[in-house]
Amino acid sequence: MQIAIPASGQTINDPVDTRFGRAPYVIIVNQESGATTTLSNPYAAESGGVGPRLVQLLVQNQVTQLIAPRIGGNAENALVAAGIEVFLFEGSGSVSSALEQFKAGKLVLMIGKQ
Amino acid sequence: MQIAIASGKGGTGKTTVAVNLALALSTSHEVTLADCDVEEPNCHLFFSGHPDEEIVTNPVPEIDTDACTLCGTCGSFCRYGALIVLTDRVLQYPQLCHSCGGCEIVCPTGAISMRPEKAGVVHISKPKPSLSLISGTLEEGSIHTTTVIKAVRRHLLRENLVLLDAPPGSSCAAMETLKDCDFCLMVTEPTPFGLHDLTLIHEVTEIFNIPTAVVINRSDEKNNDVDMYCTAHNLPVLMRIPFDRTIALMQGSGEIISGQDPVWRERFVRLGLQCLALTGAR
Ligand code: SF4
Ligand code: SF4
Repeated sequence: MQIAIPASGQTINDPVDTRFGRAPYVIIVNQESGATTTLSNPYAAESGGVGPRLVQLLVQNQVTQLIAPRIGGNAENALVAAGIEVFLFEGSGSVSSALEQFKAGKLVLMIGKQ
Repeated sequence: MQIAIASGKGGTGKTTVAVNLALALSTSHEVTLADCDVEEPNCHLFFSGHPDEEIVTNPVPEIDTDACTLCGTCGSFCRYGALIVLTDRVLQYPQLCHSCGGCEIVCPTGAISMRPEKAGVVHISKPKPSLSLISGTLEEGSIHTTTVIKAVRRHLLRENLVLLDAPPGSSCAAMETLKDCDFCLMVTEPTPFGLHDLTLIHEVTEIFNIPTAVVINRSDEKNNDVDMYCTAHNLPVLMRIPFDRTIALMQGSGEIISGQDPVWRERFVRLGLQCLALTGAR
């Protein structure tokens, strides 16, 4: 299982970015091996449709889960269609602390089957 | 002859001026009033009649799912996020599509063809023998304002006196409306916001090199910042519309002041003739 988190920087110590489609980086964590990959978001500065396009990139990277703040309608629609589960992270904090809260079962499932 | 009536934002009295000017000038000229404020067209509210309707469309992709191999080419190609290739299907957002046609070309299997998607409607009517109304309405959720404005523009005859109710602001849609005009009448209010908006549109008219004049709405006296700006930039202030209860009420009930009140009719005729004089025509 691969889980993705939008981030303001390139490492898991950087903060979770509050804007899904516009986050400069996305950090992908392989939950079996613990390995992390950082993708630079090619759409961060583009004008339109960035949310759905980032979802497409997640699909290409075999992402099945996402930790994210609130998400726009078009991106939400794409996440539902792609079958990616989304866990709501509304606070501020680093990627690693968000991951810990996720593992502890503290994040609410926003999109996906209960 | 094309005269745009523009304002920085909605609600400044732009439509009031456009409608009154059209009616007043239609006593002496063959006038076409073109409502290019397609996101919120209002001119038609002041006229009765049954308009003809023309549907405006844009090509958007249609995917033959049997031919599609989910290769991902179209999804990586489309810069607007209108095609998203997932593992089991291609997700489409026709409302984001800019109709560039590129996806049809790049698809290696020929699975994409283009189909028409409604972008809006143009209504054509003739409220008076010497007055035509061409009104564009954008389909809800569509981004194709300029397509609808272009469709409105196709109905405009050069030989007629055309008044265009421009979309507010300095957006692409406002540009599309202003670019071929011979003259621009800017409607504003004597407030800091009014001045700010006036400055923005004035910049646009300067880029297009369109002669410009100003109407100040809800204004009785001189010496506000808008007047100072106009003096400093040599912009003639052709009319002031006072803040008046009767005018407001008439507007609210869909009546045209210059159709009811001979004094106002005279004022709008004069305004129109001044605009024409400033364009160098008669
Ligand atoms: S026509 Fe252009 S904008 Fe529309 S979906 Fe195809 S590539 Fe995207
Ligand atoms: S480019 Fe053609 S074949 Fe490839 S995913 Fe798009 S529609 Fe399907």
